[in-house]
Amino acid sequence: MEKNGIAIDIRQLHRWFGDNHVLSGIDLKIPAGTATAIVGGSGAGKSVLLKHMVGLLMPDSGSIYIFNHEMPRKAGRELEEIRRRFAMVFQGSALLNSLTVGQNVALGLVEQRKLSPAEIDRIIREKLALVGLKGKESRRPGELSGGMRKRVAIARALAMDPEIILFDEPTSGLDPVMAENIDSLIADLRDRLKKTVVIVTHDMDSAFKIADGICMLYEGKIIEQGSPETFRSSTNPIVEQFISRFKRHNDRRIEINREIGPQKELLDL
Amino acid sequence: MKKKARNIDKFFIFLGERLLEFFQSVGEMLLLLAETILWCRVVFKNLDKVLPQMGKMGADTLPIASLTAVFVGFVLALQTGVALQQFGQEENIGAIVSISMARELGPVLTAILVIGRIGAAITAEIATMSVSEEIDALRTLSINPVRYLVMPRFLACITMMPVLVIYVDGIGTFGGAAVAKAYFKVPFLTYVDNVAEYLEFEDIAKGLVKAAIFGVITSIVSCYKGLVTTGGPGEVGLATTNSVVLSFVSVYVSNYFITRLWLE
Repeated sequence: MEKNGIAIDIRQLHRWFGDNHVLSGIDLKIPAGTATAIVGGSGAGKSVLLKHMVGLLMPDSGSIYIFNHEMPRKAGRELEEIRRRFAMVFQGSALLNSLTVGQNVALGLVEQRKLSPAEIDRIIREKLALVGLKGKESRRPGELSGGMRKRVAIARALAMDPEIILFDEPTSGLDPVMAENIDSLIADLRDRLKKTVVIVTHDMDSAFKIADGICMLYEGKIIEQGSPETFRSSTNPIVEQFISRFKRHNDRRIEINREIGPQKELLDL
Repeated sequence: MKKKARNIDKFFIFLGERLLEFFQSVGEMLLLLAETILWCRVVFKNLDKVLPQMGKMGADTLPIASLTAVFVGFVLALQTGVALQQFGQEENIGAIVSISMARELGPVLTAILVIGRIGAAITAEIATMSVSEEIDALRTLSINPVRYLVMPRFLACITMMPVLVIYVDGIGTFGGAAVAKAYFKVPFLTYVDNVAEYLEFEDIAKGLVKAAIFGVITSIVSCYKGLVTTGGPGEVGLATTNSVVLSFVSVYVSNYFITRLWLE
């Protein structure tokens, strides 16, 4: 029933950091089972918005509904219940360096103490295989490349079997081939596992490729919202400028990659 | 005149802001302490995190504690021995060394060592986790950071600090015995008899209570400073320095007031 409704409903969200009005009246509805990309330049408030969705930050005013349940303002059991429906893949992967890859993937399940160790082992193997890291359970995060760390973070998110997965800049710092790999993986999560996916990115290629809906944040406000097609044909000058600048920057990056040859990331594939 | 008034305003604004920050930090640390104590109810389910912390704390601190305690014992015996020798009272070196160690030097020295060795490491580790979003990652996995990170370190500090203090008291006292024998020709048994005669159980017990309180201070200050760190790697270093300084000051101040309370 809920699968067909609105997964995340944000109403008139405002957030200040000191005098800085980072989010200024955000209204956003994210349908369940779809992929939504939130795009915008650095400092536009994208990651702050994402952290509000999972209750890591609380709004100064406005409200957030997750499958029609209002997000509580205070930490407690109710907030934890809502958070169980989420998983988040952080920009820097946020793996615990003191644990192995396997322990990182199992972390949430082990702490929940609901499954047997054998069952948890099975889930670790299954999720790592899903992200192409079969047999890497005993490696330490420090021994992995950026792309591999991102994939471990995705496996950790999937292990909790969430309904909504939030990605904060999943392709930043990755070479184009690895970025495409991660994009395909995210698209797969939506198509095969029917997860609701929210991606914060400034990579327009990723957004156009994966997203069913795109919204652009600029100075704390949503200035454009719609399908990738409507976004491409937007007449909003800021959106046009953002897309064209990204394209120029990306062409230059591809050119540099061609000049310097394959990078370490590619060898890890 | 106007300019002078503005400067005075600025001074009071600055002072007020610092005072508010200070009281806010103290309030937040007390709340963290209360939450940590509440989480101690699930200690038996979390022994896999508590026991390694205790082991680590003991193993990391023991070598430096041994070295410090034995040399403090040496120097204490040397200084008191020289003074007592003038009155022909060398046999009382044992009492002075052991009581000083048990009441003051044992707990305070151990606290300083633990702050430097363990407290700094706790702040650096948790601050690094904060700036690299690992604490946020724990929250999104429905893992309470206070239960997962703070409670085990808190319990390790309040249980291991008294254990270390007993060890430091013992090593310091025996260090004193070695110097008393070598320089003042006080036989070992005379030294031990003197210790047994004057050192009371109360002296040791009070030292251990102090140690446990210093354990609370060290763990809560170190964890709090780590948890509130934001920004980048530069802030981790700053948080660690602040945490060590605040822990030292808190230990010195609380040590005075605890001693004062017991004397009344």
